[in-house]
Amino acid sequence: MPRLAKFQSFLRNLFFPRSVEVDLDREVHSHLEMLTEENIRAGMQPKEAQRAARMELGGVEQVKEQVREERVGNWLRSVISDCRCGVRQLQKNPGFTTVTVLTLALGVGANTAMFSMVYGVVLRPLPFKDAGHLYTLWERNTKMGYEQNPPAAGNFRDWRDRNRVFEGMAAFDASRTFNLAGNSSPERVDGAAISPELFELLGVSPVIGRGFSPQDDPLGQNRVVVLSYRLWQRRFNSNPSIVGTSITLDGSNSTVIGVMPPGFHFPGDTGTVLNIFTAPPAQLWVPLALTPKAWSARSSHYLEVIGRLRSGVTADQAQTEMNSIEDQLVKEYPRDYIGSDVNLVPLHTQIVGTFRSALLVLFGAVAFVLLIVCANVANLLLARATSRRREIAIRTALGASRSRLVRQLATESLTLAIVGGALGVLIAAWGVTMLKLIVPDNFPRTADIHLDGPALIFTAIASVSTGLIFGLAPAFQTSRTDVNESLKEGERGVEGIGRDRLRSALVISEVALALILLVGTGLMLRSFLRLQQVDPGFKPDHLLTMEISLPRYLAAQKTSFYSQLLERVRALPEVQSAGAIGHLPLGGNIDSYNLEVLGRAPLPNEYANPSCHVIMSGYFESMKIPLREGRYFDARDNADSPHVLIINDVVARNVFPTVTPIGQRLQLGLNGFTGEIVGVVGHTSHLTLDYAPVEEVYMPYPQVPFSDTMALTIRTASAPLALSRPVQDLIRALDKDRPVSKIRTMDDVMGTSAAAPRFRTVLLGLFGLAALLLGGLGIYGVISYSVSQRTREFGIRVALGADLGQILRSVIAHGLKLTLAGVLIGVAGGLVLTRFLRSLLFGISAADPLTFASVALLLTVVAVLACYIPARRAIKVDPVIALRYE
Amino acid sequence: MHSGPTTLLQGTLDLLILKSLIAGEMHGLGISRRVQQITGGTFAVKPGSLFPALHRMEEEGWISSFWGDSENNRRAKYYRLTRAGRKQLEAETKRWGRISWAIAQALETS
Repeated sequence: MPRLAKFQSFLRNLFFPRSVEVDLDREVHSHLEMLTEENIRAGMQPKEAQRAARMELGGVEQVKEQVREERVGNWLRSVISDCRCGVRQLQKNPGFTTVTVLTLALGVGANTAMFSMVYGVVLRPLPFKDAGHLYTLWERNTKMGYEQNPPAAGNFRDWRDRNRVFEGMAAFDASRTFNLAGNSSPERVDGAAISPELFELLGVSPVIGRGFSPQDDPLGQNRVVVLSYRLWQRRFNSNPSIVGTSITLDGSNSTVIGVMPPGFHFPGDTGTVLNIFTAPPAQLWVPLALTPKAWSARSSHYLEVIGRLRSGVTADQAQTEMNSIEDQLVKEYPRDYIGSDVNLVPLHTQIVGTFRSALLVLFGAVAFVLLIVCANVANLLLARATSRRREIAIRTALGASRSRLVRQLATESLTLAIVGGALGVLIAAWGVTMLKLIVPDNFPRTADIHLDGPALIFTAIASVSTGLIFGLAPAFQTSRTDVNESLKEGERGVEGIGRDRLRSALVISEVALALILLVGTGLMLRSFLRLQQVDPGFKPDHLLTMEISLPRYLAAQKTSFYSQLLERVRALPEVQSAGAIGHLPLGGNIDSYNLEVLGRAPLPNEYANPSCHVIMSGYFESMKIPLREGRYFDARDNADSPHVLIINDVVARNVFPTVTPIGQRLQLGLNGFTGEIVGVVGHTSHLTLDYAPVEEVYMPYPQVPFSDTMALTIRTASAPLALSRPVQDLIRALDKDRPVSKIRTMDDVMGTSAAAPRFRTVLLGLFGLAALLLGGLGIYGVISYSVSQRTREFGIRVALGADLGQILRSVIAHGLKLTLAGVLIGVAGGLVLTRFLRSLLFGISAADPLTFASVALLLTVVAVLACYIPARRAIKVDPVIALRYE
Repeated sequence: MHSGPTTLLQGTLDLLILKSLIAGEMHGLGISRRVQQITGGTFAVKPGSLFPALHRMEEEGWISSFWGDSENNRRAKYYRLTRAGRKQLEAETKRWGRISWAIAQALETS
């Protein structure tokens, strides 16, 4: 029964508080009267008897409060009443409430938005079966500095057939685009050529039809294609009977055999070469269909490989086995491939790649902003608490225990935090949308970033812990009020030393946090500027580029198409020069092949594996790539003339350190292309701006007309994009069915390649700015509060003829002292924390003294400004008013 | 809140209140005086401790209350032991016996 009794009491206390209270009141009063009677019977005078009774009772209200504290469900009652009281308090101070709630909302909102991003990209599991067992496999090429070089087809086949550690291994060529023609206008779509087992390896099956089978693969005679869900919806109106129909792909008929589920765009979103570039989302898939000759190729590196580890096999075991296979290959084919070892990368690491550290740094930064917000709000609460000392004193006098007061103040803070958090969710929703807009194109898994369950749980935790962080210290401080002192002093209040110390500590930590954040921002900014100053090896201004693809053209037709087109382009007004190249610089493609100098034994340690490019003459001129020796390609270098090559200065230095390269003959791993070197040009940045220069070899397109796709490079005297229409007209005049894609200026191409550093610099910059503002506000708040507390003192000093300048200086010195303490701690913390930025910095040390010094100076200047305003107020005090000021 | 010694004291107070109610129903002041009497004046229970304890024990179901007339014809709230309260008193008495025996043992050795 006791349990039931307790529950009944709980309900009674909760739902009939009034009758419970009336009962208690009557009981205590009857007790008091009986005490009085007892005293009278003992012979006291009625007045004295009453007094003695009151003394023994110890205060009607206090006793009642003590009983209330004991009641079942008291916590609930007090929480409810504290909330009500808290809301009332907040309504009474709309200015304070608005400022606090808004700063909290911004802090929590920014954190939630960043968390959504970190969760979606880094923490959420990949949408594949047992994704933890999936690895990408690369050849490490230490000589060329490639950590992730795609293997050649022959090597992939040997890896797949010789290993016993992977359950399955599949290869794909991610960088394929197709001309899709048919019922509507032709378009270029991104796709991938994959080995038939890929879908099964990932554990994803088509929603309609089937995936590839090995019978589809061998030579690609019976052309088949699998569509992405999006392409199927967009281009084929979600036609349910699409399987078996024929579509026109690169000019020939292919049969659709299946449609993949929505959201599946592999290898899109898979970090590719060097972990820097991400393949575009695949819209369709075709079988890899390599010829026997292609299967045995060992010098053209373009296949990306993914494998599923057998269960029970560790990554280390797999690594050992793959390395021993690689060693065998190096022994068997010494001239074709001289690699170092196999690089196994977990698929998740591959996809998230370098963005992982950037995201974690940004998340850390935004958490710092939230901490600064906490310190600021705590300061505001402290300031407000001082004006509430009378209220607290009265509550204490009426029997509220200290724990009860702390609880009440903490509830108020939590109410603030929860309101701020709720508003923060709105801000986060907006923030996530903004983040998705500004992320760089190669950012992985953007589709996985939403404001969902985990993010909301995060918001709840962040809000509550924020409320506790900023609310508890002031609550403890405030509740430690001396009743007598407070009631006597009235509202004037003399600052407790402890409270002053807490306030100073808050400001110091705020300044320190802001300094760390700003140092991070400064380092990012300087490194970004450094990156902008890197010479890409060409002049990107006034350059228009666009891509054209000519599948199903014969070799001679392709050459004549491009020659005619370039000739007509050069005839356009404003055009200064024009050329074309297979892959644009900074586009992220490297096609590397081995190289052999004819008529000479390889130098000791010689190992050339240059990135090879086919170009139309005019390319170097339009890009303004400097000629170091010999000549550029020109009209002489056609299909029938002797084969020629141009090398860059890196090849010249590595392969011909002592002799002139001009006139030397080279053989390349690219179909055995052999030619004479006619020129040496400067190197260009082909991967990213911060990547060391690599070896490059150029061949004239007419002599190697294999690439279907070429990118035009057109230099003009005026705005490049103005030419895009006339050039497209010229292309259409030559062949009206050729889709043109990626029409961009070269400046845009540069911009895209710097998008990731720009993204993190901009975001960190925003957080740094917020920290600077909040830090300044914090100092301003504290100094201006201390000035208002000392108004009387200043008034007296002014009345006694004190030097105004001295008062001004003393106020500023107070603020400066706090700032400098914060700066010192911040510098120490910064030196420790900026290490985590190291991998994101370019050309600058993580402890760059200039950045540290200028940030410290900036913060100090802001602090002085923040002190100056209240200091001015201090010296403008009218002594008469100040002395009357209560 | 309640630190160590007070909890011990609280348990003691509960025991004393239960014990004094064995004699029959009583109002707050009566209980207070009775405790004083049966402990030979060692414990003077102040209303600030008495009432919270009474209300808590009532919510536990050990005692029940009703309004009645006092010896001087004044309305007063009376408390009486429930069956659960008697059980609780037995348990508490045993527990207290064990504790005091143990403490006495501890003090005798040395």
